Amino acid sequence: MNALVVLLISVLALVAGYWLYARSINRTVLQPDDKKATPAKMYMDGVDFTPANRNVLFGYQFKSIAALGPILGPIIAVQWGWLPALLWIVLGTFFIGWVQDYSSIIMGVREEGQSFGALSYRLISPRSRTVLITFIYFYLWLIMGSFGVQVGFNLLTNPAVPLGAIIVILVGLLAGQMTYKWKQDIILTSVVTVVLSFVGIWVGTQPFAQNLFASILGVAGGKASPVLFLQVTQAKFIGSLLVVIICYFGAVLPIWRWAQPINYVSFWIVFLGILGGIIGLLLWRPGMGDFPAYRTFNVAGLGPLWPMLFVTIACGAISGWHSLVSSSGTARQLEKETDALYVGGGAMFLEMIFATVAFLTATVAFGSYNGYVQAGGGAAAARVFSVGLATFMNQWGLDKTFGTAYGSIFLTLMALTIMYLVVRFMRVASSEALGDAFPPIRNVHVGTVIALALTLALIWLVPFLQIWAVFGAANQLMASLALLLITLWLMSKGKQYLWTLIPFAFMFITTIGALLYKAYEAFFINLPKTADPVANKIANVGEFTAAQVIIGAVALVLVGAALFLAWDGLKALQRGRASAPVAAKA
Amino acid sequence: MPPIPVDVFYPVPEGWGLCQACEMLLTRADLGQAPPQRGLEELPPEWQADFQRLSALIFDMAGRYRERILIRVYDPRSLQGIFKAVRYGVRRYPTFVVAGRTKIAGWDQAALTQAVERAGVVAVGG
Repeated sequence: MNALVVLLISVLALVAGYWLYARSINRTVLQPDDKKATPAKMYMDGVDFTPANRNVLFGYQFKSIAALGPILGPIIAVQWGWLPALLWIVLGTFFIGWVQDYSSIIMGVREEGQSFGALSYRLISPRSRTVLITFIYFYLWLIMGSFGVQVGFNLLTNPAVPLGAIIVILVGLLAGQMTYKWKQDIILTSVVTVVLSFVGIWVGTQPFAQNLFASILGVAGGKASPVLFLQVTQAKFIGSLLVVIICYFGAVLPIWRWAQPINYVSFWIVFLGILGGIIGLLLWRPGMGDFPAYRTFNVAGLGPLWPMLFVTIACGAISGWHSLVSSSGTARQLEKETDALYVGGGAMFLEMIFATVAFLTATVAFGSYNGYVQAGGGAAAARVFSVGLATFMNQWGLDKTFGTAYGSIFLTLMALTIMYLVVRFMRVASSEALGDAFPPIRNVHVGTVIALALTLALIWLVPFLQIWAVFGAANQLMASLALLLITLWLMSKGKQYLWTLIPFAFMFITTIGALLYKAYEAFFINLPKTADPVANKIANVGEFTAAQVIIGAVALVLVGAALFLAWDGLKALQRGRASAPVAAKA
Repeated sequence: MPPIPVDVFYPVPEGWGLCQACEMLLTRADLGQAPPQRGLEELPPEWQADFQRLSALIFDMAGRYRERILIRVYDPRSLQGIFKAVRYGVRRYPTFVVAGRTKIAGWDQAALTQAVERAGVVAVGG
């Protein structure tokens, strides 16, 4: 199939989904009313509750939901074949994705901007909040692990990448200095720092820089990087160490000094990269070659198509992460109720297009399935994306070595902006939870180092695909909770709820199925293999055992959280049925 | 009469401009202040003071002219903000552009009031 046909399918799904299905639900069920004051107007405080123009809010919503998830998920999932992955991206968005994002906003607006936790406390049960926070701890740890592996093991291990990444970070610091200390014009600051960033990326691809980093990474002369411990090579060790050092500064320095200006420079790099990639794709219009529409039901490292495909692609089809942003963040800034569909539904459909472009980097850029595997396959999804993007940009003449380094730095920066904040969260959380029993943990540096040590443990011990599958399942568990909350809320208001109940049931059963499968795989398929490590090609029994125990245990904790929520939710549904207004209908 | 637009250009403190979803978690889990507040407190003191001053000025104008003006704050670091800043030639912050014509750079509140009233806006009760 040609890439343009795939893009056309996505655009048609957008048109049909947004203008027909979503607008119909909007008009007949939720019936937004501009005469009703939104929380942004009622409680305007200039900080949390602030009315925002719908275009600005659309930008915030899209920026918040479109991170690494919609890029990596589709690239990993094409291992089942391109057709199941594409169908899930399109149909998942069409029937579930926008439903969750848009309804979360409307629910947040009508409930006066109450937080997700507060709503679950009121609509489900008090302990659901505790379950939610437990879930969040594990979820963020999995984010650190999955993004950390991709950046530290697959992007920074290319000798053409580390110097460019370091220069872009230094240029970001310059942007902060120019803005906040020297008070320079931001247009000038933008031009200077973006140009310097591109020069930095180019310098990093020059032979002297590549040779230098090839020596540091232990790959000089094209030889394989030596293994230092477990299965961590010198290159992976340096790459992961770079990640934690950058995250350390991002977590302990003031936001204006490190994270914010680096993110600002990154924004331009990412924006221009997406633009360049799409232009290249449109000029090239490649086909999928021999990339199979359907390859296999069971993918090694991931598992069976159902349920694992539906948690492997989360962002890009449906993601619980979005409900957090929609229900409390966006809902508190909505100027008019009628903006909700444009902001929530529109941003989700646009993310579907973004995911489709990522899907195409895996399926068309290499001309064959074998090419995709040789570029790294699902286990090195970030590398596949950066090489794929470079191939697209090469169509309008950009040098491929530069393009690959550019694509790698683009993804590295996207991942790091999230990782700084996750480390901050882990630090605050550990301080709150353990500060009384262990006062040193209240120290900013101690808390940060502990969070980063946990991250390194995950990166070094657990294979990426296992982390990603459980991370995706955790994400979809959040989506199930959001859809359950929305269904309960619709019932309590006497509105039609089948259009959210069916997606909830599907997501909930699928998520539980995925988590149980991962726990079963870890404890009953993989662990017994340690009895004969030679026959099962297990290089290090201790590492393999630790990885299976970690993944299996996390999956079981998440199943426990899901079952608590389901039990309390079921009781709430029964309460809702008993007390719902007469007009309530399925 | 439609409201007169007053466009304000200022680099808004962004405690949460990095990844809104991540920052949201802190607040939702009751483990920190509201992200924008935290972002503000991490700024250098002179920026904190300037932001408070700008907030007070905007709230004052909103109170005085109510629905007769439409105040829009543009961060020149956003895509829309940088295009508008180029269009109006904004080089200092804050800069106010009244009715798409009159540009006031800096903190000259008297000039701002004059520009708004010259655009035909009368203060509520005035």
